[in-house]
Parts: sequence; structure tokens; C-alpha cells
Amino acid sequence: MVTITINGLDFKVREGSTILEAARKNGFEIPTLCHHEALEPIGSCRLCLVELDFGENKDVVSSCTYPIEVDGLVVRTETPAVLQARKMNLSLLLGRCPGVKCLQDLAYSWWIDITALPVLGDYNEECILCGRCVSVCREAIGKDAISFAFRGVDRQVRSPFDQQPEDCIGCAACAYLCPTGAVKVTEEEGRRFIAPWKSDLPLARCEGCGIPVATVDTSDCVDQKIQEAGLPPESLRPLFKTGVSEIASTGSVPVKSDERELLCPRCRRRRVTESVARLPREKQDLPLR
Amino acid sequence: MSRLNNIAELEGKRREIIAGDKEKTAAVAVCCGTGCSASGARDVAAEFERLITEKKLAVQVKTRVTGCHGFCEQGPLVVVEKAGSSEPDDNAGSGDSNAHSAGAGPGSKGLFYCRVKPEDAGEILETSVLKDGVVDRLLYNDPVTGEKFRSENEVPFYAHQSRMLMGYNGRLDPGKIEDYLSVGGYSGLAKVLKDLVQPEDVVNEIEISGLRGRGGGGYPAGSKWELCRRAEGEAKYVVCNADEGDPGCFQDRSLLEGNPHLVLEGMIIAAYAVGASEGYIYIRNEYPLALKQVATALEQAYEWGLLGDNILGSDFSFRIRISRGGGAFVCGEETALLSSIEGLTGEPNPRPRPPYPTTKGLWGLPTLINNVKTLAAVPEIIRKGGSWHAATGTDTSKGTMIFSLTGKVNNTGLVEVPMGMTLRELIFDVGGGLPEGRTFKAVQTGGPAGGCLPAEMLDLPIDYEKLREAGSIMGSGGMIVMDEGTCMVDVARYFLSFTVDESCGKCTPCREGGKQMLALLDKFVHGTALERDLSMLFELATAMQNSSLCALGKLAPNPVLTTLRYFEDEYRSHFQQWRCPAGVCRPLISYIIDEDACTACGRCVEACLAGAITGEKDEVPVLDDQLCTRCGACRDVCRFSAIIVE
Repeated sequence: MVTITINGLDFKVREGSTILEAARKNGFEIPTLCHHEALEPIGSCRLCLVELDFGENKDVVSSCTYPIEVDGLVVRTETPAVLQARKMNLSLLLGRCPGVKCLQDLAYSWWIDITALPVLGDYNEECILCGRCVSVCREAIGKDAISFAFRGVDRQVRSPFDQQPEDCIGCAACAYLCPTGAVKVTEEEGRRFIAPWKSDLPLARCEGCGIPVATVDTSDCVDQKIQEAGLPPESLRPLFKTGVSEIASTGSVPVKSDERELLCPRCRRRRVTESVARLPREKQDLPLR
Repeated sequence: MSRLNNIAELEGKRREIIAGDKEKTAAVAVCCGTGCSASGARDVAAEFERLITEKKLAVQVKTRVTGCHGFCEQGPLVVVEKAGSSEPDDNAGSGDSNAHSAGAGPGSKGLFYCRVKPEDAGEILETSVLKDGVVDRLLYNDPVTGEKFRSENEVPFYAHQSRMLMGYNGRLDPGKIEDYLSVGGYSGLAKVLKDLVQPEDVVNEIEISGLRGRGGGGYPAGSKWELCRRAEGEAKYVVCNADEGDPGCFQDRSLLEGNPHLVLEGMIIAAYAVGASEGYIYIRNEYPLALKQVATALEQAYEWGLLGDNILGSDFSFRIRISRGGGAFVCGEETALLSSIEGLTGEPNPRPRPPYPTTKGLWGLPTLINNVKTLAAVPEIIRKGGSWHAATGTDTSKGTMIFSLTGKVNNTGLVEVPMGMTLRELIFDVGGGLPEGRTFKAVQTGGPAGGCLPAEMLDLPIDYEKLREAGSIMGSGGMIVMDEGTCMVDVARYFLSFTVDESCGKCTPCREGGKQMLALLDKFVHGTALERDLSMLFELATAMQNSSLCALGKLAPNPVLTTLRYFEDEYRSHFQQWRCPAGVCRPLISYIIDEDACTACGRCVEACLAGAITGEKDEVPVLDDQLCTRCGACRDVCRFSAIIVE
């Protein structure tokens, strides 16, 4: 544990945790756009700036990327330099994506003019290039289907060669984490489209009720991950498949079985309940998870 | 060549080489650095070779194809050294720490010929090599005084320099490890292995020397080495940053092309000090000659047992590999450079810091990254001791710095001067002032991310702190001199457009801020700016400086901030009077024909491609402002200064 001073108050925090984690845990508000708990720090939006006080020197750093490794770090979260830089960075993002709701909301709450800077590009631009989609695809999903292309002002998130990426499984984690809604996902006639990457993948239907559950590739990927992890069946929460008949006979969830069915969460719940209800009385108190 | 198995063998080999050189009565050194090669030095060298073979002089005369001497303006350069009188430094080979007089640097006293053409080779050979004569017309002729100078040391351009790093360039063939050995090469490494056995002692020597990172940041090299030495990891790396991307800068290039072994020796010593087993030299692919010379040097060093396993019979092993850069400016930023070596996306992503590379660098292991110039300073420091290096320079900045002197200055080229020299001395004494009586307006130090300093700052001593206080940086040592015909708004816009182009685009302030600032500067150039744009420009630049992710973004607003600080009036006149005082910004100027000066020769009528100037012969032509594109062609052809810019 190390000591850190945030806005004049001392706290003990875990060594190696970032300033952002320490501040948020202790109730200080720091705005972020590119940060997400599930991902490695990205440090691209530059809204989480804080000021470090080294006595004579003061330094503005991004709190999401700054690990606390030494005792006695003095942090201020709302100095004039910090606030001015944050506001300017928000204005800059608004100059890129004037129509994005989350940016407008922040601007209203900070009392800044959303038209302070001219819009130099496309008024309909929604991507703030925070990089969450790229990170989640690489780190959490392990697919690396999309990446940044070009550099500087031309930077974009793109699939390789701007074609449907081979690695994309259509899980739509990118869309889920996108703070501005720039990643558009639509489902139509049994297929899922992720517009910016030109992904077009077939959806697998629930074998119980027939509604589309997830893309076929996502379902396979989950299966593969369960196998690779070699986890005991009880410790997982299978997303879509359960071998209900096997639960009934053996009392445990099978790791791999041809009899497993793809079910939507609702149908799975119903099926498990039904099968448990059919069991003889002495077997009914088995653990389901 | 067989491996050198211990230090005694190295010293024996060195004596052998020096003794071999003593048999020759004269040496002809032809500069074949990139600058001189461009002016035809290769042909000159080939001609010398041909003549020497033809006249069977190879026994007495040694020809050397050397690296850059720095005075590219006057290239191709040829230096003729004669035995006895011109032996620059008799003790250089012994590795003795007192061999050099401190500060003077290893210059050459030989005859110094400039702008040599292949057809001059024969005359030089006849007059100066075989006899003791001088070819008068090829000597350096001072453009101001008309005085002629015989040797390199007398030429004012060199006389004010102290060429601690660059001085050897003219004295050795970069392709021959023997040449490097003959000037005392690898004696620093020998000293490390023999006398300073403890890595702490080596680091300590660097700390005493006061050497600071020459890549621009100015971080004390000793502290960096110590951090890396103390860091724990299963392996450690030493990386040499030779990704010199600043436009108009070629110091690193000249060192690598002219004296690659100096850098290698520095790297080996650094590796010994921090306990690294592998190293990388990251060179831009745009430097083919540097790549070639380094590859040759590496091959030789491996062959001679100066690299590889059990260097010089010790239990220290070190390998160096070359990593080629793909031309991205941001790769000069150390963490981006590491990503690039690791083979990550061609577009580098500066990593957030800390952890700094000294604890978590290449592949997550402790890595020491130093610039070419920093590493090149190391062998001499070890050879002569840290206090020798610390004797040159100011309190906080020690040693020398190499600058690429370019722009509106008489002597363009590479200059190596002690820290603490004033800008005035550098530009007017070394650089020879501005040509044709032009007046000095500003100097941009530190490349595109540096700052513009005005005439009032000419007496500023050059060191890291003083430059930073003035709003500029040492950077990689760019030095662009500007005269009164330069518009500062245009300059700021030019440098900013470079950094915006080279920004990787990862963080908001650098990507979006640079774009917005460029748009604002465009408004100034077009005369459509408003008072509030001036303050917005300042706010944007400050925010970008404070909040960018890496040094590129933090430094990119420097040209804007310094020109705003020192030349605010010039910005104001762009929108208050709609005029560009320097007459550069095209939308704000117009060309006028001075009827009194005009002799109606008709040259401007012919020169105008836009057809804006019309007129019959013997009649003062008429200039149509609507059609005029402000290209300036008419002014260039007018012999009577009758075309005025307003």
C-alpha cells in the first residue's frame, strides 16, 4: 500500500493502481471517454488529466495511465491548468464530432460553448478515435479484427483493406463499448451487419424459440474459449449452450457434447427448470452453476 | 582477420596499424559524406585513386574516402596531409588519456581544398602531394574578407568549433576498422574491461562527465544509465536512436556515415555498464549510406571479436542488430521507436509513461535508449575521464553539441560547438553571418518542434535550460537562420504543418489541436483572422503543450508559442492592417511596377506566366492585380528593382 494525496486528502491505495482508480474509488470525479475497466489504459482522449505537484515542478498527466508506484504523490484533480486543458480537449472533440450526445452532455455540464471551434471535417462524424473498439477486440475478444489506419488527422478505425475482416466474429463488443455510438450494428434476415467494418455474418437461432441469439462465429468462439481454458464445467456460465439431458442424468454441465443446444437465455432458463422438475426428488437439489 | 582475444592483442594490432601508416609520406582525404557526394566527391575520389594507381604512388600515398567534414557548403572537400608537419596528433593512437589538449578537438592541420573537381586531382597530386606546393585557387576564400586559408584549423568556420565528436570524421575511412583503431578507437572499451571493471564505475564516470541526452530531452545520461543498471529483468537492451527525422538535420547521419565504430564503441560500453546483452540501432531507411556503413562496421567488429561472445576475452557478451525505420517522424520518440522495433503496426503508438523504458522497455524489459550523439560521446569520456568532458560547456550542460546550420547563413553545414556558446557567435563567427548584407530576423532552434528566437535573444548562451526558458528546445540540433524576408506567421504555419503531418493521431490535443491551429494560422495568412483568433491560438497551443501524450505533441506548438511571444506585432498586422510585413503571405501582398525605375525592357512581360503583365515595347508595362498569382517571377527577372512588393 502506498500513500497518495488527492486534493489535499491522504489515502492509502494499492501499489501499482492508477491515479484514476485511486481517485474514483475515493469519490473524486474524473471524466473519461477512452477509459474502460476491462481494458488496458489507452490514454487517448486526454480528458482524465490531473496535475501532479512535485514541489517546484508541476506536471499535467493523464490519470488513467499513471501508475502510483511511490509514496507521497500529490495530485490535484481540478486546477485551472487541468480544467482548461480538459475543456479545450472536449472542444476539440466537439470540433470533430459536433453531433455526439455524450460530448454535448459533458459540454453542457462544464458550461462550455459547443461551437467554440469550427467543425473542420464531416458534420456527421461520430467516431472520436478513443480506440476502445480496437482494444476490446484485441485484448478481451482476442481477435484483432480491426485496427487504426492512416495517421494524424487522417486516422480512422478500419478493418484490413477496408473489407470484411476474416477475424471478425460479429460479437459486437466494439459497439457495446463505443462511447459515442459510432459503431452501428443492425440485424436483418438472420444476418448481423457491423457497418464500419463491413462485417456481415450469419446469426444462429435459438433452438427453443427461434429468435436470433448471436452470430454462429461468436457461439463457436465461446465454445473454443471454454475448451481452451480447461475450466471445470461448474465454474462457467455457458452463454448459449446447455446439454440439458446430461445435466439431468449426470448432474453436471458437459464441456463438449454434440447434444448441446444453442439456446437463448430465456429458453435455457426454462429448459433447465423443466428438466430439474422432471428429476426424481432426491436429485433435485443439485447445483445448477 | 583473426579474432582479438585480449586487450594486449588489441593494442598490438593498433601499434602495427600505426607503424604501417607511418611508412606513407602523405594522405589524401576526400570527403564522401552525403553532402559532398551530392556535389560529385565520388568522382573526385575515383580520379585520385586512378591517378595514384597510374603513377604507382600507392606505397607512399594513402587515399582515404572519409565521412562528412561538416562544411558541406564548400564541398567536395579534399584534405592533403603530409608526414611530420601534418600529423595531427602523434599520441592519438596510444589511448593515453592525456593525448588531446582539452576542448580543441582532433582537427586537421593538412592542406584544405574546397570545391574540388575531378580535373583538379592531378594538379593537387603534383603540387601538394609530391611537392610541398599549394594550389592557391582551391583554398578556402573567405567571402567577407577575401582572405585565403591553408588548413582546416585556420578556416573561421572550423576555428571557432571544438570538434570532439565530428573531428575524427575527416581522419578515417568509415569502411575500415583499422583507421578507427589508428586514432585510438576501442581504447575506451579496453579501458572499461581493464580498469573500470565494475559497471558502477563506468556509470559513475558518465555521471561525472555531465553528459546529457543529445536527442533533445537533455535527460542526464548518467542517471538514465544508473536507472537501467539497477532495473531488474531477465535481459536488458541498449537501443541507439538514429531515427533523425527533423528536416534539415543530418548530424546523426554524418556520424554514422563518417565514424560508425565510434557509435558502436559507445553502445558496447553502455551495454557493459547497464548489463545488457543485446542492442539495436534504429536507423531510418532513408539513410542508405549510414545503413551500409553501420552494417560493414558491425561485420568488422564481430570479426575482430569486439562484438559477440566474450568480447576481448572477457566474460562480457553483446550483440547489436540493425532495425530499419519506415520514415515516420514520431518513431524518433523513444516509446514509439520501441513499438516499431517490436514489429507493431507501422503507425507507432506512443505508450503512456511511466513506466519509463529504463524499467519496462523493449518487450517489457529494461532498455537504455540513447541518441547517436550521446553514445558517440561515450568512448572519449571513458578514454579521457569524465572530468575532461565536464571541463567544456556551462554549469548545467557539458560538452559539445552538433548543430545543422542552415537557412540564410553563409557557411551552412554541420558545426560542433561547446555548450554555452552564444547564438551570435554560432551564427556570425562560425556561420559567417548572413549573405549579401541581409539582416538577421530570427533563428529556429531544435527543428520543427523548436522555437523561433528573435534578434534580441542573440546573446543567449546555448544550453538546455536557457533555450527552454526562451521557449525553444535544444532538440536534435537544427538551427535555421531567417532574414527579414521571412514572415513569422508563415514560418509557424510551415513548421506546424510538418508536425501535424507527422503526428500519429492517437491523442486528441495533438491530432485535433494541430488541425485547428493550422486552420487558424491559415486565417492569419489570408488576412481573415480576428482578434479572438489570436487568443484562441494561444489557448490551443497551451492546451496542446500541457495535455499531449508524447513529446511530439507537447513540443509541436513551440513554433507558434514563440512567434506569438516574440513577434505578436507581426500577427496583428496580418489582421489589423491586412498586410504581411515581410511580403510573403500571398493573399496580403500585391506587386507594383515602379514607373520611375522601370526601363521598359519587357523581361517581366515574358516572365509572367499568368499573363498579368502586359505592355508594348518601350512602354512601362501594366500589371493586372486580378490576374497576378504573386509568384514573384517578375521580381526575380527585373534587373532594375522596379517591381515592388507591398
